[in-house]
Amino acid sequence: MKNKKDKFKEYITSNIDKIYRFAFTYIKNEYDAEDVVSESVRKGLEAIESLKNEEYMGTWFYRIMINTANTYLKSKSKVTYLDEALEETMSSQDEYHDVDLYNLIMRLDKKYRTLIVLRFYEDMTLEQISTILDENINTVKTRLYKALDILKQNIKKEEQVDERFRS
Amino acid sequence: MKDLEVNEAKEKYESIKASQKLRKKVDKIFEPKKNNFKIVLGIVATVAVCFVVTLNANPTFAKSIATNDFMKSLVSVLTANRFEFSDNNMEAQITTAKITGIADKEVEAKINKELEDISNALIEQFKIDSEKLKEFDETAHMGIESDYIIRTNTDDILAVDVYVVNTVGSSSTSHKFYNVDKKTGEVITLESRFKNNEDYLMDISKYIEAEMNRQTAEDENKVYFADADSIYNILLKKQEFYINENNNVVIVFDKYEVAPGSMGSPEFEINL
Repeated sequence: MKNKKDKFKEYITSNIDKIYRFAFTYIKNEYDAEDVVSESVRKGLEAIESLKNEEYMGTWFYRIMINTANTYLKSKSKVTYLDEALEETMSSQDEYHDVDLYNLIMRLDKKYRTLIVLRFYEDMTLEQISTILDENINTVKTRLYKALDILKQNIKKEEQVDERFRS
Repeated sequence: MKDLEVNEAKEKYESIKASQKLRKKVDKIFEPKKNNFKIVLGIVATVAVCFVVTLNANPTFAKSIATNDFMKSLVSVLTANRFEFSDNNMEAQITTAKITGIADKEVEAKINKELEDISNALIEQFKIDSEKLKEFDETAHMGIESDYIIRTNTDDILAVDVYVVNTVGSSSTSHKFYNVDKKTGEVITLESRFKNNEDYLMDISKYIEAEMNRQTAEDENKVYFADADSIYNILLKKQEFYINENNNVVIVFDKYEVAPGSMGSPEFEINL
C-alpha cells in the first residue's frame, strides 16, 4: 500500500498545472505564484500525516495554498517596489483595451475572483469551497451571487464603452 | 455574454501552465534530502559553514569519458561545490559551477575564481541578511538560490547560465553567462561575434527595441519599458548573452531590468 507521502506527491505532480493556475489567479503574478506553490507543497509535505481522510486531499491542499498566499500577500504589502507602482500605472492605461471575460474576472476583487474560479473553472461544489475558504456555506452562496452580479454589471459597462467607441 | 466568450475565458484560464522551473522545484521538495544540513542560527551557524564537495561530472562530461571519445572537446561544466542551508523561513541553495577545458588556463582560472567568488559572496550576504531580517521580523521569509543551467551544448558551443534567485517577499533573478567555443577552447565575447561591425552595441539595442515593439503589438499582455538608448546603456556596462543551438546570440536581461517583474528575465535572439 502506498503511504500518504507518496499519494500526496502523486496528487501534486499530476495536478501541478491546476495548482499553479489557481495560485496565479489568486496572486496575479507568476513569480509570486510559483513561490506560493512551492511553499505550500513544502508545508503540505510536513503536515500530510495529519490529514485523516485522503479523499479530501484536494480541498485540504487548496486551503493550505490560500493560507500561504494570504501570509505571502501580507508580508509583501510591507514592502512596495518601485516597479510595481510602475506596473500599476501601466495596467491602468490599457483598461479599455482588454474587455474579454477572462480579464474582467481577473479584475474582480480577490474574494469574488476566487469564488468564480473555484466554482466555474475548478468545478468545485459550494460545500468544497466553503471548506477551502473556511466560511459558512450560506456566506459562500451569497458571495458567489454577488460576484456574478458585479461581473454582469462590469460586462454591461464594458459593452457600453465598446459601443461608444464604435459609434 | 455569449457562450463563445465564456468558453474563450475558460480556455484562457486553462492555458495557464506551471513552468518547467516550478516543476523542477516541486520535484526537489519531494526528493529525499541528502545534503540538507539543518543549522540553528546563532553562534553555531557562523562557525559551521557546510561545504559538500561533490564534483559530480555532468552527463556530457561523463559520457565523453565513458565513450573514450578523445576527438570530442574537453570543454565542460561540473559542480564544484554545493552549499545548502535551511532553517524555518530562511533558505539557501548555492551551487558553484566549474568550467574546464578552456584553452587559456589563465582565463579558465579567472572564470572559476569568479564563480567561486560569486558563491562565497552570496553565502556571506545570506548569513548577514538572514540574521538581520530575523531580528526585524521572525516570520519573514528569505531565500536564495543559485545554480547553473547548460543552455547550449552542441559540438561547437557550451553555454552556461549561472543564475541567482533572491527571494525577500518578491523575487529577483540575475544571470551571468559563460560561452565557450568547444573546438578552440576560447571564451566567446559579444565583440568577437560582431567583428566587422563597429556599432554593434547600438545595432543590437535598436534591434531589441524593434523586437519589443513587435511583441507588445502582437500580445497585449507583454510590457517593456526600455528603449534603444536605455538598452544601449545596459549593454555598455554588461553584456549577458548566450549562443543558442542555431548559433545565434541571445541577449538576456535580468528580471526588472527592462520590463516589469511579471515578464521574468526577457531574452532576445539577435538576427542582425
